[in-house]
Amino acid sequence: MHVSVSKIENSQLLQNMEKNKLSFKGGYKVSRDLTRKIIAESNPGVRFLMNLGKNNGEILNSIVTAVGTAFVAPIFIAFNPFAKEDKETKMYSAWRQPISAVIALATQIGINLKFNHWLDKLASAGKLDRANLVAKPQVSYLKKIIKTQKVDIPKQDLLAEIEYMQDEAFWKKVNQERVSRKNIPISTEDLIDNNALNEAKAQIKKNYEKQISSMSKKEANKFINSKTMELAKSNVDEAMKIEAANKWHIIRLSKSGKSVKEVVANLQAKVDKLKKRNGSSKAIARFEYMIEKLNNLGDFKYVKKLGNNFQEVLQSVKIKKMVKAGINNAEAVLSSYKKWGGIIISLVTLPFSCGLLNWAYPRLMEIIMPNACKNKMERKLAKSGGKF
Amino acid sequence: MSITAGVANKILNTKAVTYLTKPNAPAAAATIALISNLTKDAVNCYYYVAQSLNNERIPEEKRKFVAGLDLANGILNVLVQTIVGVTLPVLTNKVFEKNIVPKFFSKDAISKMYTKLKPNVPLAGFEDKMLKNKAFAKIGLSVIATLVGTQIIAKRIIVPLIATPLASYFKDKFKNNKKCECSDYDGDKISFENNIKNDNHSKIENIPKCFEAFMR
Repeated sequence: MHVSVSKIENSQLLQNMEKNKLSFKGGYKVSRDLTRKIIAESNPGVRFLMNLGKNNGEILNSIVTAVGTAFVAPIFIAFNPFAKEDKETKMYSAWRQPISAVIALATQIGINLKFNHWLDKLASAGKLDRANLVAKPQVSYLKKIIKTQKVDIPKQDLLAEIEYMQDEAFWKKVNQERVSRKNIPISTEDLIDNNALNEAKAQIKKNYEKQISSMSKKEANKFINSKTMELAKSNVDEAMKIEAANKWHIIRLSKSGKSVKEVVANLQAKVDKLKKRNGSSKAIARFEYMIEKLNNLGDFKYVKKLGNNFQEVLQSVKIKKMVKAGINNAEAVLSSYKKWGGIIISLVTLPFSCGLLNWAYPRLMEIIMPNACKNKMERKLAKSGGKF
Repeated sequence: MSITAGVANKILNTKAVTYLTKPNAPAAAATIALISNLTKDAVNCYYYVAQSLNNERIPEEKRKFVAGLDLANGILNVLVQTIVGVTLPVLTNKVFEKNIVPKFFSKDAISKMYTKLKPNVPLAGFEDKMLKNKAFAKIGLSVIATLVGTQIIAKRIIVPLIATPLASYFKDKFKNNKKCECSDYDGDKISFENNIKNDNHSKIENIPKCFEAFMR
């Protein structure tokens, strides 16, 4: 469907700058750097929670379980007021817990890490159908590649190199798709990721708050789900048109032959003029928005390549979004694979860790509490008449 | 890698796995953590019961009873953890909205952070990013609360508190039988009656295998 530039530019959406701004979180790099800044500046407790929200799974489960086993269980065994056994017995029993925690951590974390890295490798190489992450090779996979080439690379350089390789992979994929799909229509569904669905869901809940509150939980869920996809589609469609319109605007500005700095200076002068004579707040907001975009852009070189007309620019913008949505969905699937796979791996390793505990516990106790073990040996000898 | 990748894809593309792992999967992170720990505890319980039933050092007539105790402990564990695990996320969500959101994710808090960081994005775009971080923090809180609640408070504090008096009850029942003979900590046969009379024996042997489950 052909969408005329003027129709887009004069639409209610572009008039309403506050709404337009919602679609702009900065470019790929700006957005990533901003996330890092936010995390670094956040309250340590909140930062901890945000990290847990992003990185949870079987390894975290094993760590918390081990903490409980190693530090809480022994206290309860050794100082349990309800247990009538003597101190030595209690201590002997209590020692079983930290030993079991260390064995569980050693067996489960090691194997889960290996499993996660194996999945990362398959996903990064594009071998997993539903979690193809060629456009964003995973950190563990890249780390291994870099470390085989540069054994003693400092941590800071390693992180920078990982970032560089991820950027390279992303843009390579975007550019490939821009060539191969130049004239192929992109379905809106391909632009929707889990984040977009969650945003739409939250919007529906807010917009229909009263209506939903009168429904049963089942009805409310059905209602929300039925509306979510529809809204997510219209949101992303809208955002793409706005993004493309802005990019196209920038391309046209670049045709004046001026540098970004000069264009920004011109726009700033216009803003100052408008502010002086109490001009339209919408116009001011619009110019300020363009200034922000241009400041982030730095150079007209890449934006010019997006297309020679609005439709081409729209296609380019959609393709980039499609790659990003693909990455987000693939990462969500990969994370689920790791979580569910981790459960199976832990179950498979359970008999081994149990066996290892049964073998190690009495032997370690002979070193830790030799007296308690000696009493027992003496009794055994007495019972058997000196023979085992 | 192609053969393993082929096998992996065959498994990962099955209907059940596809359903469980779709990007907007039905199970939340905290639920998966709960399922993981409950399954492990249930399987652990199965091992203990099977071990007790097949332990030849426990007199045959007592084996079912010993295994029953292991099973009761396992069921108690799963039951308490389920209750704690299901109710906690509801509670943590309320705590999150009441105590964390106003302090760190309210409009005011976000604009303060915006002024501090001075990012090259408009406030509205920044707010959008903060909302995503808020969602992660919410997931993080419910996951850690579920794990601490089930693996530390339920499994290590509540269950032993309930189980210990229960164990004492069964122990007394054993003492009254006077005939009770079951394996000690390392599987050594001991006479319960003798142990009670003669305290000079190794104290370790005062705990028969059948009560070990309650000391874990």
